[in-house]
Amino acid sequence: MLKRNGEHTVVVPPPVQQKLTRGEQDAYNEAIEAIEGELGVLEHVKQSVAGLLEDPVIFTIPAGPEADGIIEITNTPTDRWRICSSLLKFQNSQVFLCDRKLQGLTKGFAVIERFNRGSPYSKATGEAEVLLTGDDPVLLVQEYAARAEHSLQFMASNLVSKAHRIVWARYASTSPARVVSVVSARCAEAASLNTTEQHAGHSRHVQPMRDHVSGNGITRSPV
Amino acid sequence: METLVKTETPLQVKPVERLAYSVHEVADMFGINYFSVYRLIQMGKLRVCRAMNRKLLVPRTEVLKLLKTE
Repeated sequence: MLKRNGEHTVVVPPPVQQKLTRGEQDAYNEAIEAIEGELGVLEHVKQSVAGLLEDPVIFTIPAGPEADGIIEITNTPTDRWRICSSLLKFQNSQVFLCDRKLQGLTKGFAVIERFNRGSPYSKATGEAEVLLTGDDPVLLVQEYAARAEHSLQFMASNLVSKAHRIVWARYASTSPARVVSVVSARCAEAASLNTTEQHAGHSRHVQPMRDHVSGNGITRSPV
Repeated sequence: METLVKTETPLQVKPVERLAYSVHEVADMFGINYFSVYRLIQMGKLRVCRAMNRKLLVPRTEVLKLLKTE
């Protein structure tokens, strides 16, 4: 990235190791408290997405109560998909890996998000939305996970903005920039799949679990 | 002779319509998870602007456009 004068900016890593003063710690605590709920959801979604990457093949095997159900894309009539497995579950929607027969024995696959029927969004745009299509289900799951990670990072950056506002409004007399950079590091950590992979690496013997995020929290079920 | 009685009507303040909403508010309005709202933004289905503190804001027109109520 360039500065206004054309010079390259020097990226300084966040001072995570630096100890915060008491005032800075108060600012940090208040900012984190304000984004705590979202940060929790972010981490839950991250765990689910990390689960997708841990063993994407598992998700290509029809499993779960929704398996073999049919999803119709109302915006494009006659577009019918069979549910293969559930990738992510939220309070108001669920993401599925679906398939359908093409000509001959070949199959097409898609990642489809199905929304609650009564929601204003589904009334306006249709109950289900195709997010990705392809002919390799494993690649599709991996691609979806990669996109979901981008969304997580995007979410994290918006959380930093929220924290930024709080810190600058209430703790301008301390060192807001230092506090914001620590909050930023915390949010980046919450969104990063690398930290999860490290944990996953230590617990490979554990049976893969699927996480379902709901408004109240996360439920885990064996695959 | 008929007299007109002037009645005082309370001052009616028209509620100011919001110009933009936060991602959370949009998620509530759409009835979807806010993770899905971020996805819509990334896919370009929902255009956003940024406040001075870099916080994402979704213009009202964009919300109405997607809900097809404009």
